[in-house]
Order: sequence, then structure tokens, then C-alpha cells
Amino acid sequence: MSILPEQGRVAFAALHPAVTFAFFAGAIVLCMCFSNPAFQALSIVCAAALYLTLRGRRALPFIGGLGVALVVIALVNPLFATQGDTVLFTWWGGRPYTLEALALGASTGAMLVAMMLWFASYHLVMTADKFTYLFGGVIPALSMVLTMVLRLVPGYRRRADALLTARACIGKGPAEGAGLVERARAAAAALAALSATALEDAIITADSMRARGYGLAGRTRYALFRWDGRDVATAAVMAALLVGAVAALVAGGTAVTFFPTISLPPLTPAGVLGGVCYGAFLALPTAYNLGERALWLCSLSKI
Amino acid sequence: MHAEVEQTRRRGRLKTALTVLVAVVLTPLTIWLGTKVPGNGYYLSGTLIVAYSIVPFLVSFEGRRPQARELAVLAVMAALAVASRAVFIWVPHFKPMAAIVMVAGMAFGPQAGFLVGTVSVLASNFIFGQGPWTPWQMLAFGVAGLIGGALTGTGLFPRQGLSWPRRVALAAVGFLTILCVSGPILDTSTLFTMMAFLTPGSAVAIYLAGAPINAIHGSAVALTLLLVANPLLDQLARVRDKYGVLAGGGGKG
Repeated sequence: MSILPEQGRVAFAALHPAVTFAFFAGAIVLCMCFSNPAFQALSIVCAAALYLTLRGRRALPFIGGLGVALVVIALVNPLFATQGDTVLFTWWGGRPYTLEALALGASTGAMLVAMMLWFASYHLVMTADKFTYLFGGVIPALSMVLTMVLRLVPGYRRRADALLTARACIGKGPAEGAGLVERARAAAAALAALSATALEDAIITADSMRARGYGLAGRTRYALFRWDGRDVATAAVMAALLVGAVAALVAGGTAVTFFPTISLPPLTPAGVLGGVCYGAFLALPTAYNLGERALWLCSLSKI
Repeated sequence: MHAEVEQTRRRGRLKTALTVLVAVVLTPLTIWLGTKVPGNGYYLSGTLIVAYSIVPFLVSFEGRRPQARELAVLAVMAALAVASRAVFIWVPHFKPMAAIVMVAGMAFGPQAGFLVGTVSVLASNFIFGQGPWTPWQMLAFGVAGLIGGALTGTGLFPRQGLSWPRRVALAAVGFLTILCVSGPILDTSTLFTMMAFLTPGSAVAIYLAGAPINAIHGSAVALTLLLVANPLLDQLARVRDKYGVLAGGGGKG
């Protein structure tokens, strides 16, 4: 499922899923809470760095695209929000285009970009096996269904492809240049054939599961992951840094007001400490990946 | 053995009631907290409230202790919903997923429909990428399944053997479900992400920009329902009759 070929060699992805999940949950929720530009810049830089360590040069087009999105969101926002004292110019019969609205748009765009970057790394690191491992205890039946779906979909795709090809070969495919309804009708026939076999297979699978004792009391789950000393240390450091960042949030040293004029909060020791904690927290996975990489290169050079 | 299952189910019902209660208490608290957060507070609280609305369904499903056959049939319906896009590969920009979810709801009841909707979105996002929109999509497609279940639950549509006028009516219902319910839920997610400052103007702009996309999506769902609903419902009726899977319309396993 993952497009991360070096899953095993990326140190952060090798941590226990609970630690990984807690990191992403913290990073994404906090990125929605901080509107301070310095904190937002930290989030974007760390998220981009993590994505770069995971995907290398292939990460660049995605990051570039998000940069464009940021500019577009910032430029569009003043068209809807007209508050703010500093009018840059007026348009469409005197509607003001204000600096404050532009800044607010940039802030929203930055939040979106940071969130998209974190989710992109989340997608690579928190694979479906980790998700079902983590939540299999709370929602056993549903994570079973999810596992089955993820296993069935690629097979159905292949079977659908075979069905469509076979039907085209016996002249049952849509004609060259056929209309939309004609094409949909051909696809619907293939879907009905696919579902007929799929439902029959489902019953066979279920009977096989029953025969092997699925759902009986006293059965345990196979644990894919182990919780070791490294996970304990990482979780402790993460928790301490999170407390520092949340303290800054609660103390209120991070709020920015945009209207009527932009006012940044004064620089307080609590705010600075919160920023340092936040940055260290967000940089943790990147540091992990780079550290492991350096260790690997170092050990290579010794051979 | 039977008494034990009955006891777990009773405990499951209690747990469901508690979850609903917790969700009802947490919702205003979350809204209040959202106004306090200096950043994009309403996106955070909105997403959390969406999650609260999904959780009771999941808890109630777990509480029923579903059997293997039930799980397998639901998994197949969700997998068909995800894979259906690959079947309609010849038709550009065609999203038939909600149609399959609605058919699952019609055949097996509102709860099963909701679950097929949420699980197919979750699975599809594991393949194509999770995002802040995942809970919103889960709710949007879950509600489509819920509506499908309500159609047969209230006796408006039979569970199998739809006549041609009924098929056309079902297609119309599918179109309206996307245009008026599922589509706007997805647009709300976009609204909260893109707009820093909610004004009536920005809300109208986002919903209007979403309307043509929802209309295209709804047409795809309507066309799929018109062509696929009847054969699929007949196949599911056969599974129900022959194997007794989810025979009570999802009420009892």
C-alpha cells in the first residue's frame, strides 16, 4: 500500500505506531491552533523537511504545488473579506483590497499547506497495517472489515480489468466514439458480473473464517510491533516538548489579531520557550531520519 | 453461549447510549473551545463534531458482535464501492461510489449502509491519501448509505425487483442526495479550510462553486443507480435469502 520503498530503513517509520500516530496527531492539531507566523513557518519548514527525508527529490513537485496554492489562497482572500484599515487599492466599484485581509489569507494558506504536508508524510508512515494494529483492540470488527477491503480492492480492480477486456474482445465493449450512457452501460454490465462472483466469494471466506474460530472468546491478536526502550524515550521527550508548546498556547502569547490592523503579540519568555519546544517537537522525526542516514553512511565508509 | 452473546449485546447497547450522550455533551464544549483557539478554531471543532457523529454508529456496530458472514458481505460491498471507479474507467470523471453505498443501505438497512460508506472512504483514502477531509467524507458517504437504508426501511422502495418507474425515481433520489446532502457536507470542509474568515459572501461563493461539481457527481451516481441498482439488489436479495446474512435489514445479525 505504501509507496515508501525504504519503509524499513527510515528510522521514524520503524518506531511503534502509537508513537508515530501521537506525533502526527499533535503536529496536525497544533498546526490548526497556532496562527502566529513564526510558529506557522516552523510547522511548514519541519513538515517539508520530513517529507523530503521520506521521498527525496520526488517530494519537490508536491511542495512546489503547495507553494502556488498558498499564494493563490492569500491573493483570493481579500476579494471576500474587506475588513482592515490599510487599503492597498480599490476594485469593482470601490471594494477595498486590504493588506490585513491579504495577511489573513496568507495565514490560512500557511495553515493549509502545513496540514497537507503533515498528512502527506502521515500517508507514507502510518500505513494501513499500523492503523489496524493500533485500533484493532477498540474496533475489532471494523478494523477486520477495513483489512478485508484493503485486501479485496486490488483484486477487484484486476478482475474488473479482465472482465472489461474480455467483454471488449467478444464485441460487448462500447463502440469506438460511443456516448457516455453507452460506455456507462458497458461498465455496469461488468460491475454486475464482478459483484456476483464477489458476493459468492464473501460467503466462502466467511465460512472459512468461522471454521478457523473467528470471533471465539479468548483469542488474542498477533502483535506486529514491539514497544521498546527507544519508543519510551521518544514518547517521553515528545510529551515534555508538547507540554511546553501547549503552555505557550494557553498563556496566549501566540494569538495574532488581523483586524482592524495587524498586531503581533509581544515577545514573552513563555512564548519564546513555547516556540523552541514546538520547533524541537516538529523536528524530531526529521532528526531521527537524518541521524539514522548519517549513521548508515558513516558505517559504510568504515567498510 | 447464547445468553453470553445476549449479555454482550445488552452491554453494547448501553455503550452506544453512553457514546451518544458523551457526543451530545461534548459538542457545545467543543464549539466553545473552538472559539477560544487563536488559529483556525472552527475547522478543528467542526472536524471533531463530525467525528463525534460517526463514532456512535461504529460503537453500536461493534456492540452487536457481528458474525463473520456479515463482516465479509459488508467488506465486499465497501470494496466494490472503492473498485467501482476502476470499472467505469471508460467514462471520464465518473464517481459511482455513493451509488454502491446507497444500494448496500437499501439491501441491508441504514446502519449497514452508513458503515459501508465510512469504511469505503477510509479504505479509499488509505490508497489515495488521507487528509483533513477524511472525517467529512466519511460522514458524507455514510449519510448517503443511511438515506439508502431509509428508502427501503420506510417502505418507499422494495428491497429487490425494482420496476422501471421506481428505478428512475431512485436515480432522482440519488442525484438529490449528492446535490443537497453529501455534496454540501464536502463543501463545508472546503469552506473551513480555504476561508480564514467566515462571511456570508465567502460561504455562498464556496457552495455555489461546489454546486456544478456536485451536479456532475450526482449525475454519475444517478446513472449508476439506474443501471446497477436493480441487478445488484437482486444479487443481494439472493445472499439474504440463501445464506440469511443481515436478513433483518441490519437490525439483528
